[in-house]
Amino acid sequence: MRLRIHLALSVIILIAIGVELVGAENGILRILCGLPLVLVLPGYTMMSAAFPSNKLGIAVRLMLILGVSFTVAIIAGFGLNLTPWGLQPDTWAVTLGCIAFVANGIGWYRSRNLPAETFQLAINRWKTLALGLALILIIAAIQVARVGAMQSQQTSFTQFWMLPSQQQNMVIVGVSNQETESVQYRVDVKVNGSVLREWSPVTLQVGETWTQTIMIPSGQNAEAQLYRLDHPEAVYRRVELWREK
Amino acid sequence: MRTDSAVASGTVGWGRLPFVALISASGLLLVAIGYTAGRSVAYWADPVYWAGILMIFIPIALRLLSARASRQERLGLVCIIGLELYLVKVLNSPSSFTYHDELLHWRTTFDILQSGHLFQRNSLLPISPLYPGLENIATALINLSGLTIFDAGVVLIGVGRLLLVLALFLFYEEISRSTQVAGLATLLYMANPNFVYFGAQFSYESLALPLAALALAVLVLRSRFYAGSRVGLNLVALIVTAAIITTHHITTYSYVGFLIIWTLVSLLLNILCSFLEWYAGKTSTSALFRFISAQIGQLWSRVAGNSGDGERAGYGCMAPLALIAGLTWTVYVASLTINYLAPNITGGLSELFRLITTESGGRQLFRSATGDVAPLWEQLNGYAAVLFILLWLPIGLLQLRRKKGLSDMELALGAIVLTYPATLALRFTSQGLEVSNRTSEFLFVALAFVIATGMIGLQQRIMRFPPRVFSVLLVGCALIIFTGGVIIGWPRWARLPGPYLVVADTRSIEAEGIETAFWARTMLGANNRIAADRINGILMDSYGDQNPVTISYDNVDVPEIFFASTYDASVRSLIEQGAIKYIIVDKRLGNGLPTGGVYFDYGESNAFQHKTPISAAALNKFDNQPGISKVYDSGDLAIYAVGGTGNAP
Repeated sequence: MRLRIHLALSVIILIAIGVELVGAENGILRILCGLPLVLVLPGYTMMSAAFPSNKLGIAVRLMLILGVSFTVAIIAGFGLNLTPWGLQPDTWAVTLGCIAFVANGIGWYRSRNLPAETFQLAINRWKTLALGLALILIIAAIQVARVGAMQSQQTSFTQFWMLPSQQQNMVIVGVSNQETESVQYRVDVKVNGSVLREWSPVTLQVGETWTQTIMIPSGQNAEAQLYRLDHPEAVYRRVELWREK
Repeated sequence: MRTDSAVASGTVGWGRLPFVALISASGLLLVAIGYTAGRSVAYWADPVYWAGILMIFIPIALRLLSARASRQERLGLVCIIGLELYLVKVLNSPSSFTYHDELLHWRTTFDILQSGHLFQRNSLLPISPLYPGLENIATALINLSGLTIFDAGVVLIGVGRLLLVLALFLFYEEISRSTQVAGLATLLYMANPNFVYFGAQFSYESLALPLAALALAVLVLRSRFYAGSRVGLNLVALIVTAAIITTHHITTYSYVGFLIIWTLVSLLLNILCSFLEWYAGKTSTSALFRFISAQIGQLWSRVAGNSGDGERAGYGCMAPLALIAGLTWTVYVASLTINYLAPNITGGLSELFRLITTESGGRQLFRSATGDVAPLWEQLNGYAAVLFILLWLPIGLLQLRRKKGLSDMELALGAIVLTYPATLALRFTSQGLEVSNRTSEFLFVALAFVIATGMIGLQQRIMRFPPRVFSVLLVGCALIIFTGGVIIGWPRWARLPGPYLVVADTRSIEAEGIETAFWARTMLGANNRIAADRINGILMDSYGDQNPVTISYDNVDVPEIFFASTYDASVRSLIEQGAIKYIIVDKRLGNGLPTGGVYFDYGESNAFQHKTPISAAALNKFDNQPGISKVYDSGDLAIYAVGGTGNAP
């Protein structure tokens, strides 16, 4: 029985390493492999190796599993930092996976003559129901908080900018709509107080960005003004580039 | 032998845990509703929030005080409340980090992910990369699971919270030999002012504390096991100590300090007992000297003090080992630590001295920097919490004194609680408040144990009251201490989410600032030297990948760049001195006083004493200035390119 458990653990560890090395795209698979590889497996296997007879009790073992997993990750990080490859997905997977694999092997060797562990969870159906409801309430609480946070984050601003381009005498003008609705804008670029170029209407949906590149005569200062067409008389945003010597 | 009556009576199993968990989970839902209401400034947000907090706490406290609950049930209950209180913090901001320190560590984590190596520079918290324990685990999680920094941080600190609760319960259980005391002490530990909010953030202390609790639990658990297991536990204690030292400075010093106190108490007690025996003529002088030598020899001869004869394991050499390792890390890797911590400690003590000598008036309690005063009930609760702690301490110490077979660890905890009144004095100073706050989560390890011992001891002795009535009274005391901790530990304006406040950390981090930071990273490139206020500085440092210039680390008086009402030679000089390329101006700074007491930095002029907001003239002075380009405008935020003294970038 113990052999089967340790064999199963070995397979799980190898699968987890494989998933990481292959660079799986599946988010759920990576989470299912990655979280145990960091938070549980190193500690569990090392505790099995160090205490094969399991006289520690479940609570102590759980504490040690979590704590030793943390500690192994911290120390492994320092070790990886000394290598030329550093802290990368592949190096983490191989390091933590190898530690867990070797510890698992030691744990099997030390416990091979010991009786199998048994674990019973005694709980009746009403208590199971109550726990299930409690879990549902916790999930509901998380959802209420998340929805509330998302709804309150209704942003209401417009970003406007003007920056020199890589090309000589060219500037980039940009607008990004972070309001709560679609907006129509007018963009004026002025040089020496005169409008050099105008764009209207510039219609942007929420989250949409508009950019244009324009040539500004050499050594001239440029000013750009943004207007909302629903309030055309007021300058909504203003930027300027100082280029005079 | 445990004195737990529930075990003696054979009560096992989950007991009432599922039903208590159901009620407690309802409380969490109420807290979430309170938060949502807070965002829309509903008048009922605060009462609903507090109703939720009470529903989380009271049922579990009642059950933990009951003599009928089994060990399994008590353990389950403390885990449930520990995690639920963690969710109270997470639900405050469920989709991104909004605490100042969280964003600092976000930056350290991001730098490691980008570079693949540790010890990158963090301009706002240079000390953070020198204690990379938290970020080591975080980068492992992110790299292997594909989670974002935020999601990985939430999972990591949540697991750390579970570890903390487990370790504390097992620690208290081992030293008290009572699961009832263990459960109550763990619950009372959650009353420390930093437990619900500050200690639950993505920060290095939030990981180091569970590791320290683990180390202490392992050290006291050693006595229960035969020699082979003891070796394994000693190794665990050693490597966990190494992890603590590389994760957080204050936790390291507190942990080492605790080990030293434990060692000294044990050593002096053993020597004193031996001396008394010699004085009484029961042992010879040579035997006395041999004994003293053996006791001192334990300090460097073995990790575990006593041999496997069932006695509690002594101190061994953990204290000197931890001290040497901690000092080595501080001196050779993290020498910045001294300059980082010293000003807070010396500043607080100096302010306290001036307060005692009536040179200064001290900090007004329950009053924010903007003049807001906490409601009367919160003030009364806060005072009552401190009063109850001070009342229960002598009761708890008396119960310990009456206990047969008192251990060295219990004595050490009893000695530590005597420092509590001194930490209260620091709360009357602005700089000392930080020191007092930070000590609470360490001091409460001892306080919770002594108070729990007092409560359970008294409960077992008082025969006049019906047991249930007395339990309710005890729960009331515990509740006052707990809610007082929440009130004292986190400012009122930060407990619930809500509309923007001027420089109010969690209440100031919002979409416009975040999007501006992302824009800066994309359009301006990384690592530009910038000048900004506290909030936009931290956003630019983290999400913006910029390099904020500060008083503390660059010796440039950045606040004066903003405070000056005109763009004059002094401002130009500061910009040149700091080699600043961009200035981020938040027009909202003129809307009010800084809620947290400072606009920029603790070193700014009139810190915590601002009387008027920054003027509009000061905030607009960079407009239409020759040589300064206004490259970005989002309404509240503007970015000016000031690199060099002449042209646009």
